[in-house]
Amino acid sequence: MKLAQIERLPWLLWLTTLALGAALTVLAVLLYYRMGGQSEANIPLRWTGADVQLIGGQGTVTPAGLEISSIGSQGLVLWMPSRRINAGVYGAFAWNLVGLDSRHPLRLIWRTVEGQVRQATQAMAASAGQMPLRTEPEWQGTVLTMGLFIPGPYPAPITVSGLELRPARLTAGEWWNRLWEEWTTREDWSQGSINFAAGATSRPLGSLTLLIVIWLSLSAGLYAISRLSAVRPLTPGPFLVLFLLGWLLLDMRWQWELVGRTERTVARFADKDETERRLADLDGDIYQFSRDIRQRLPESPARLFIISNDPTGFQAGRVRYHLLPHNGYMGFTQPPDATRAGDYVLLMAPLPGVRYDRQKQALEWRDGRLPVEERYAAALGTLFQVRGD
Amino acid sequence: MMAGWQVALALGIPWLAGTLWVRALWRKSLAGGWPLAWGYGYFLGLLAAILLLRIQAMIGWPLDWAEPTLILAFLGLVGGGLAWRRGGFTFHSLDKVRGGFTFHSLDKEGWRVAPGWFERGLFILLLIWLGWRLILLAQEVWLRPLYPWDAWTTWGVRARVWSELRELVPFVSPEQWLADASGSAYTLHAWQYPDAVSLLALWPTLAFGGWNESIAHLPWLGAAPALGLGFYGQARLWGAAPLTALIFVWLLLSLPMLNTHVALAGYADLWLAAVFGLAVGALLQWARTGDRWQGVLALLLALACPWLKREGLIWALLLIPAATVVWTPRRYWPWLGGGVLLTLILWWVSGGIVFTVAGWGEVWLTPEVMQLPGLGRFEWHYHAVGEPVARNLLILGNWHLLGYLLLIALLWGLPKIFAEPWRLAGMLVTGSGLFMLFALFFLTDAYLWAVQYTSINRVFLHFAPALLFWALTVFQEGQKPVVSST
Repeated sequence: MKLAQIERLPWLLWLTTLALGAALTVLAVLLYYRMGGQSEANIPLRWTGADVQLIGGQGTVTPAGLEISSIGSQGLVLWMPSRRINAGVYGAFAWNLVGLDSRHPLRLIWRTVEGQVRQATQAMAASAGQMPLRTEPEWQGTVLTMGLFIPGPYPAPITVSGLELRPARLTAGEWWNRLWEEWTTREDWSQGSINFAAGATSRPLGSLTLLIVIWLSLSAGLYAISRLSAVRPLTPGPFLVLFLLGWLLLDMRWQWELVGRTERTVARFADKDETERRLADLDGDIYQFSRDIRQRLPESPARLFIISNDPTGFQAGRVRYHLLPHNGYMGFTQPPDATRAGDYVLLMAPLPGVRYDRQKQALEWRDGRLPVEERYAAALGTLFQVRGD
Repeated sequence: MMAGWQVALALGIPWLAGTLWVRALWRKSLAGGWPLAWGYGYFLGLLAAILLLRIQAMIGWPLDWAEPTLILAFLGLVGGGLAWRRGGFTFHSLDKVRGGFTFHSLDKEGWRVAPGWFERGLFILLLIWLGWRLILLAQEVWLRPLYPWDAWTTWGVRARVWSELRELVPFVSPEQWLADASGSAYTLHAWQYPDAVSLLALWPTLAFGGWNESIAHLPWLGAAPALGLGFYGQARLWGAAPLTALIFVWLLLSLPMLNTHVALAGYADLWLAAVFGLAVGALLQWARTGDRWQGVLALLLALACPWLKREGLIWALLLIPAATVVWTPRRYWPWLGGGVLLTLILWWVSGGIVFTVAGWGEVWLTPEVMQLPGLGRFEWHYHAVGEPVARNLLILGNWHLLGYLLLIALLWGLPKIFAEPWRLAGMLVTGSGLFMLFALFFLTDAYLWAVQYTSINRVFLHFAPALLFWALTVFQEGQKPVVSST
């Protein structure tokens, strides 16, 4: 079919420019990644000692890095700042910890976007080096936070000089596999979903939205050029249909995503009563614990102080919610002075700063003491009632 | 079974009452009149129900769903009677209006005039697609226990306590709670948040007879189709053909963030988005036609915004500049613009203003600091968050192509903004809303919400329905409302 004939059939011209636009988009994407364009894949992620959060120890930020004076018997964890990482894009982790010897092998750990903590199968017995990640079976999906576990005890100081996540060198086929995996992965709802509904990853290798915009823009441009070069008027219709087609394609993917999420929801919660649904929910263990606690509380709402090492965290908040309408609040890391006889105190484990003295029947912490009677103890926490004396 | 019927009455009667009253506002049967009435009626009816609950508590009566429902049923009868007398219960048929962005007018060359069956077929397919979407969301709402963070730390906590105690017990600050000897007050970290959303969750559980999360979530499920109906009605009143109007409804109800806030029910953002969006729709109609009832709808919904979320007050105030240009004769626009500019210059040169509002607190509006009681204190510093903002709005899968649609609408509509008052009003609402978002994320500590991918999309959600309706007005020439031919 000649070009002139195509031009006389605007719908055919439209389809032709649509196909050409798609081809150009695919070509552009391939060239972009192969030529090392600015993207997630080609930029290493680097952290200095000042960026990391120390758990289980104390450190001082110096020009050389984070200086840790010593490590206790329980070891310590260095957590890097939260940042959604597409695991498939990164192939190696490098570290430089001055002062660490090979008797204390490090272990790389990470928290997934689903909230699960994973660790590398191999430990790293050196103060500096690089370990491959692509051989780690659990290194996949979207990683939320990365960390390093350093076992203790270690009496000598160490300095966290630098940490780096290095991109993998992928072939064109591997890139395509990563993209396809990203486009076809369905996530379940998470606590972050209410803030963004990004689909497979919040740092996409190949954003479908952007790719469709590029495709539609190229197609629209080609169509406009063809029409104008044939001295034919441009009307909004074909461009409108292009736009709606793009929206429809994205919406079809989102619908497919929603279907997957709903299927998981139905599988998890259908044909269950309210209690069974809560037990099947992501905090089923916390809910069961709360039920056990509720049995030790009076029928009428009681004042309840929920003490934890993370007062604004998930666990304390969920316990408080599950124990409603008991009049609880979880904003405490130690028992406040305002407790009265008859109030209840729930210590969420672990809480190393507060201990229960069974002989004296009192809670004790650095600046205080509270006479209590133990009512219930479980792995997640212990319930006490404040005594009158 | 009985509880189910009670819940149906508790949700249905306010909806019906609101619908009949909104429908009664217009004497003639207008294209889009009934969908508009159903849409606006849902939000106005439920807001009226929880207002009656509040009054009930203030009087000292025990918390009960039956009395407010009976009052609303009576009001519904009155509204129904009024609607009957003024316009009769006529229903405008779907396919009588032409013009604007129908497939008939897309292109006279090659794109042949589409037969009516094509448009009808597409209309039905879209309805089926939207219906499927709503069914998926309904399953989430019904089956999933209370899930999102702020719902089980704030909005749902109050609702559950009130539901279980059958009393609107006060929520005070943690310090006051600690000092409270009676033990009757409760506390929350966000104890100062407005209570409308918690009351909306409470309302159906009162009819149910006890706290039940699935029942408490039902108002969120209804909000989606109600928003769609209200949007559709306003689009038809604007002059859009049925298919065009439904396409825009699809664009709205297909937004992933909006769907998420329905599925993970319990947050306030969906309510503010819907109420503010419908207020803007009504405002633009009033600006175009001078229809005072549209003005009344805009005013009522704007007044409800601060009751839903604290920032609702600021969003509602954004409507004032738009209303001002509509009231101001065109010949005075240069004076109005000049006056605003002069005020800004004087404000800058003088270092801003600080004043106290009795019963509210100290207000700071200076080039260094903005402080509004109840909202917080914001120090102005520039933060380069263009990348995460652009990423969230244009690249990630949060909004489909809405960001690009708005860019095109801005370019398309900017040359014509002085052509008619309603165009300038629409651009003012849009421009001031986008400016507020810019100021919030680029100039205050709220930039962290963008960097950490937290509230940025939720705040943008508040504006999404309004911006989409404005985009419709840019592309769709406003027409005189068509009276029903029946």
